[in-house]
Amino acid sequence: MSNLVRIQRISRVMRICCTIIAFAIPPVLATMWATFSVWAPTHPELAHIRPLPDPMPPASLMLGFAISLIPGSISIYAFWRLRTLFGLYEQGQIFTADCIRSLRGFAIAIILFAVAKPFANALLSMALTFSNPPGQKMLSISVGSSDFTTAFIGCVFLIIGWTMDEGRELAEDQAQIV
Amino acid sequence: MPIIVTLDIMLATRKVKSKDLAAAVGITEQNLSLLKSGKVKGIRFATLQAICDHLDCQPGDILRYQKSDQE
Repeated sequence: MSNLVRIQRISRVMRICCTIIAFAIPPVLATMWATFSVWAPTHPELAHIRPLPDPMPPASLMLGFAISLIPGSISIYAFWRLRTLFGLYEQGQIFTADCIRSLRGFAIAIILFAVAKPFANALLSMALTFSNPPGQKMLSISVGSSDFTTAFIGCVFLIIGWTMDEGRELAEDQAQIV
Repeated sequence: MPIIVTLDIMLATRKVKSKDLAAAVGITEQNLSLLKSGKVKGIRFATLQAICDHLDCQPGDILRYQKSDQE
């Protein structure tokens, strides 16, 4: 099996996976917020937001869902760019301008996700403690190592995109040599 | 481009059709047409060798250097 055939086969699977994930993100988020009372008390990312109102008011849940859509929509965009990229690989397009554009879009989305997540978490802490009595409302801002790791990975993909752009120029030059 | 491709002259001299040369060299007619019109960035030694072999000529018979006025 040639390398290109292998790339095309795996890319097809990856494209399907990315499509499923991109479409699954909104319903998964909606389900998570609908079952908030089940998982929230033990969720590590919400451990520092205490006390949580019991039961959580529907308005806070709706607000929480809306806030979680900020990083969620960035994730959808990232997976959509990946889907486009793998679709192009599937067609045998490796070093083309469209591939580079998709890879850069994915990299920028990852960096944006890393930036947006701490902001979304801060907004979430406000939304979830909004109905608490005075003195128990919270604004929690935290930046974790996972956020730095995500941003770092985004930067790596961005640089790989630039490197691939050099490869694209070489491929275009090569195509003009008979 | 200061390199002038004079392949069409050699083809006419040898009375060889482009289609036959393309088949003998193993490139497409479209690529041969691009080569004849000088719209390529380069030519592989293997292609040059095959063309010279088929037309029984030297590389200098199909390529010419013309110094540009700007230089």
